[in-house]
Amino acid sequence: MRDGYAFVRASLGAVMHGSSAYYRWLAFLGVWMLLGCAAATYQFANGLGVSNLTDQVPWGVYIANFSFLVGLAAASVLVVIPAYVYRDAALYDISLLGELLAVAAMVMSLLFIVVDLGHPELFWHLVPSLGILNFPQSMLAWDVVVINGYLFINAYVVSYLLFSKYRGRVPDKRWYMPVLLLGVVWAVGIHTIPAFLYASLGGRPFWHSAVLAPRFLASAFVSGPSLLIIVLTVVRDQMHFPVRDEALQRLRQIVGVAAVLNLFLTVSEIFVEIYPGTSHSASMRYILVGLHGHNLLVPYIWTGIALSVFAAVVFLARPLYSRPKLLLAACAGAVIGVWIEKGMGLVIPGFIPTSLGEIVEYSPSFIEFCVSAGIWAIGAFLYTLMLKVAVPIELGTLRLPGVSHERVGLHPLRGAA
Amino acid sequence: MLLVFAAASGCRRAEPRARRVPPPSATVTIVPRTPSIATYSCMERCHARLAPNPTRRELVGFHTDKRLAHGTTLTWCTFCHQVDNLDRLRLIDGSQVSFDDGHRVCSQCHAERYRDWTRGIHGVTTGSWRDVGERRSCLACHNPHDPHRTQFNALPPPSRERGREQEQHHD
Amino acid sequence: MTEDHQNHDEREAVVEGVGKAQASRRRFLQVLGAATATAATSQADAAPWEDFFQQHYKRLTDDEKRQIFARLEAQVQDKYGVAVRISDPKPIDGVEFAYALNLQACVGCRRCEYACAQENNTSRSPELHYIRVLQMDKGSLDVERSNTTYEGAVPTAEHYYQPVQCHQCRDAPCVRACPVNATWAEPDGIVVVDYNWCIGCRYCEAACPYFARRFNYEEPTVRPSEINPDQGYLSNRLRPRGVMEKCTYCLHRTRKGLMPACLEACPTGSRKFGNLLDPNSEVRQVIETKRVYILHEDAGTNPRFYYYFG
Repeated sequence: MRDGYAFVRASLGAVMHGSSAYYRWLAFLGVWMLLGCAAATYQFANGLGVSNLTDQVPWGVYIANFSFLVGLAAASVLVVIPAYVYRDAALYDISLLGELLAVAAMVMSLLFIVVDLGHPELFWHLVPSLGILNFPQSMLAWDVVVINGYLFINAYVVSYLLFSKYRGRVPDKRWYMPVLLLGVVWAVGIHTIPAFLYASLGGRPFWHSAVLAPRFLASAFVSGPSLLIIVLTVVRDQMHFPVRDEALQRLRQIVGVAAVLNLFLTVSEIFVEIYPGTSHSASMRYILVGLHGHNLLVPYIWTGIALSVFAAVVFLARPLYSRPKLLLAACAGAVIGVWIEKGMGLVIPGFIPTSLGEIVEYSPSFIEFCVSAGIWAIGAFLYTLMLKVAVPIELGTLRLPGVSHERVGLHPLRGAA
Repeated sequence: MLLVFAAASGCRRAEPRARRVPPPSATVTIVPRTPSIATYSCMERCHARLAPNPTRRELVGFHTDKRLAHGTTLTWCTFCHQVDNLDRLRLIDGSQVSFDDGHRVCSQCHAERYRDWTRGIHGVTTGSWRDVGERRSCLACHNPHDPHRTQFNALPPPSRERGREQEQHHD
Repeated sequence: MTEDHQNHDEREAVVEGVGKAQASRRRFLQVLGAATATAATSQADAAPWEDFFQQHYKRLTDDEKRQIFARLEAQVQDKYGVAVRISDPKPIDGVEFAYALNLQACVGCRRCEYACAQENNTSRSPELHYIRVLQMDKGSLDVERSNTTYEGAVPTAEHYYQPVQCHQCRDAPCVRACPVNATWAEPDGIVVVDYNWCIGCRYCEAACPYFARRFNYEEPTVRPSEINPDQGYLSNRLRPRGVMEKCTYCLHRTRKGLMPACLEACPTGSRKFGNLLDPNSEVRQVIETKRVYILHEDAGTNPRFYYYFG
């Protein structure tokens, strides 16, 4: 218990001190967070009327970000499986960073759901027995379960690992391996259930596709590790965390394969929709070329596709990906590309045209933009603080007083200290 | 996987079934036509004082607004109106019916429509689906003299609807 | 099956018991917002918590319902100065409601749309209509080619008209979608919403293949003089902001034996309503003697709404 108290104090100490770049970064995020909080408060006080959502397009940028973020959590499972199941030393080093990214992504997903509710204060209606969770009928109820579960699993594992290492002890496998492996299985759900959330709606032809869940998985395996490559590069440069090149290359291989698979699945979807030209292809036509003169999102989606293609090419061609800056640019392109494709590029066309053939377009309002940016800032803020604690513990510099500063558990085969 | 099937089957069972024995069917009254005919009773108002004149002719002075354009055979008043008692309508067999039973005149040609009307498939029934429904006669909607379909002025689309404002904006 | 919950005096007493609070959820939200610079009205006290902690409709005892109805009535009195009566007519044994609509007769005049809004106290600004009338091209059943913003004289020579509203599906995707069971199918087939239980996620709206659900993005506005005071808890009572609402076949009317408001307003007799379980009912006669078709039948929703030509 005393150790726990010390751990909390040490963590607070760690996040309070940093370079001026660190403070500037936090201040930058803080401004966005404040703006987001103000916008969210305004929305809460005035209702979702401040958004550009309509009955025709009832979901917008919030749910779009939600869809993207559940995929981002894939970063976790893709480093956890090689690290813990196949005992890949390079990825083991960085697995904790991946899991922390999953925690931040889950928190952001939940926030995006909350701000999308007409009555966020009534969230207690979702709590079983206190309220009513329509499980297993409602896919949204499944989503609530898998997201909270995944958040809990990852938060538990990283807390346990960090706390053990802080006390200079080798983490006891009995305490974390079962949960960690559960997390691996759970991760499939965290990507599949949101896809089913859409695909299960028989009245929305654009989503009602068996390939949607595989597309979610493939795009998640692009965006998560791509973002992780960027994060690892920053952490290596800014926090002197030794990230092996092997680790980056392994991640690069993963995203390379996933990016091609993702493009392939996307092309399959487009072909099946467009070639026969049934009335069910109207949404696809809307997003790709516009429908009856409505083409607000056409440039948007083509930007996304271009970025995804660019990223895939870089990830696969050695002369290109061996240049670190180009690799980083490709990673950024992949993340943004998936954000477009799995975000508004997926959500909005599902509603256009409506099931009665009406066309009402959507783009986020200023308030929606601020709230979304604020939630992203909260996620980035949270992730930064978590890194600020996790990295020194991993490096051995942050320890319970009197405990050896040797690094713990760097290699699962060798064990440590 | 089991849970998925549970999800799929659970929702099919979600709705409780009503007890299948229905309450007694509604009865239907036919709304009388005569109170809504402004010039009724024809006999008391005018025709009792006028000699019946079955001759086909151009009407001047009265009923000039009546344009007779009902098919090719109904070309004169006395085809449907009882010439010596203009408060009554006349069936083909020579029997007389009240204006309240005007639908019986229509039924002579429009048998299929009439059957639909008796079943409530065609025509207006308001009031109650359970107790006593009020059914309008054919003549409440169709002008027997000139039964071509009339146009209505559509009420406006809801222009203050959220999507509508934006829709126009994007157009 | 008219439900008379209690005599008037009793209800008055309950209103007293609630006190002069009568603060709506909106005020409660504003109070929360006050901490962060939004202006708060000072009248809110105990009642918002009763709104907040109100349980699901199906978990309420008759006594609790009485108190809640009284509280809601008092809130309307406070906000609009209008005395309304909130009732809760129950489904009738042996009755399953269904609708049939004659596409050959409908002229697309939108009388039903506005009668519905008036009957159901739906928001006038922004306008919120349960019924959508599609102007369809002759020679096509494809709703995607329809026009919903037509004006002027109807019907035109090139078009026919198809009003669409909630189909009260037997396998309703909206009911399945709702994460908190705030919407469900009653034994008489009517899909209802507990407006005080809905959290406003709009998944049901995404799930509906008939564009039949409407969300109150803004505070619904109805002029006090236009409020229909005969209100059902599960149907046409004034909705709070941030919840879903929909057509309920006017259950506050139809469960008392009346016809829905849209049917009463129809000048062409295109609308047929009745008990599907009664072989003599008009809807059953339509199904048995006419050829009916079901909109988006491929969606597998098994609606209780039939279109026919005749």
